[in-house]
Amino acid sequence: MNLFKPTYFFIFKQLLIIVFFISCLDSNAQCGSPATANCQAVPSSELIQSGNGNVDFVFDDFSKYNGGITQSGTTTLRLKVLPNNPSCKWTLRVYIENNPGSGTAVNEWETLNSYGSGTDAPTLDLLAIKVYNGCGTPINSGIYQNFAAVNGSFIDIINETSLIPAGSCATNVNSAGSYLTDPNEYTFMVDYRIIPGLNFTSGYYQVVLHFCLVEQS
Amino acid sequence: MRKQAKLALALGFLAISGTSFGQLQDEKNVTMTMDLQPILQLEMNTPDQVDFVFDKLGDYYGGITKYGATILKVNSTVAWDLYAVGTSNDGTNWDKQMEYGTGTDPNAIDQLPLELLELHQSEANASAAGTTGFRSDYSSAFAAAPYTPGENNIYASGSPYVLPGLGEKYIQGHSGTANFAAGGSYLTQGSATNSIYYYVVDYRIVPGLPATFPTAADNAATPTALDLATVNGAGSYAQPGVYTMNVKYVLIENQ
Repeated sequence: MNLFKPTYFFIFKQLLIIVFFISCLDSNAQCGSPATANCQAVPSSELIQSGNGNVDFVFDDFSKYNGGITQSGTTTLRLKVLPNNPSCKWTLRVYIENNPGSGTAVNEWETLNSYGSGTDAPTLDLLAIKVYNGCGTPINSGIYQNFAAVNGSFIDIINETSLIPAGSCATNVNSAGSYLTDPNEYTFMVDYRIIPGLNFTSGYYQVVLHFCLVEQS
Repeated sequence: MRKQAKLALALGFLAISGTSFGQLQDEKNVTMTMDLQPILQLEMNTPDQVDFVFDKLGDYYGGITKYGATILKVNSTVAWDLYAVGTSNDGTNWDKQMEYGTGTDPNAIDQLPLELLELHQSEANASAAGTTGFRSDYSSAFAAAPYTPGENNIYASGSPYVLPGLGEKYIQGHSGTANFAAGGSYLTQGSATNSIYYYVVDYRIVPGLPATFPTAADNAATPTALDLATVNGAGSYAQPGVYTMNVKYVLIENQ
């Protein structure tokens, strides 16, 4: 077969284009792409987020700068993971994104408005989150963890290669299950804390947190 | 050829089916905003009015010192400068509220320079490089006679919110962006005895006898004496009466 004949070349080119688009659809690098399908996909399985999609921290008092602001229980995540087979297991992680396309430095919050002439935008490691639930299944459950000061850095909430069954009320429960039947294992509360200190330029800043539920392959 | 085309299409189908069957992947997003509002707080503990009453000979000779009359506390989230400025209606002399006596003697002067007021701050200015005045702050202790005019005299201006230049005194920081105090608070940084965020300010007025205010001077590199005898001639003295002036403490973001 001569692939450089016009007809074959056309088909081959179309094939490459199709494969390219498929690879683009699957290229969510931060959340990760599952290689297996042991769990059912959305909408049968789903990650439900309740709470405000915008969390605002307003530092207008010295004591807030110094002591920080904590927003407790601001985000609640509920999981429903239905199996295709008994090997179904999943991971849950959160990563931080600072809209690098706008020219934001890799380690800083995106500046929406600067109130002064300074250039010291706050760094991403200011933001700390605490994830917990009734069984303490998250890694570092109930402990504040700061993001690394790099765009795309992530914190694993559930990440275990072996299968931890629902109902065990142990760390890293990652089998098929639902918040409806096992609320203490498939519900996650998230607290946020920022202690800015006095080293950063006054202004209005933003980041986005992406919570990812992905099948553990 | 058709077989090969079919083979290629079949491969394409497999490529599609190999990646598109239902895989679990879901994502939810939360947007976080952080509003860092600039804070510049100057807390001042002082009487509404600081009175100097000269009714004894000793007060005229030795002057009156009001120790710890003002306490300044700084909270700031941005780099800052702090200065004191003496001002009045004309920005040069004390405001005469009342005159005792007839005031007909030509040697009785009612134009008393604002600079006759002396200040002493508890902590020295740590950010005053390149200043050109006689002193960059008010940290020198009040000296006894013979006095050093210009040592502690207040900066005076009719435009109190225009930043003093390099030749004037600041309490902390100074003219230009290179001279400033970093953001911080008296609550967390240092103690009352060594913090640049906490100042105890003393005031002194020395009229002398006759009342010519021998300490009065500006802050030029070589201070210009402003005492009444130098300015108005020998034999001049202060017209007895009630005089007032205003002292402003201005905390401002470094600029």
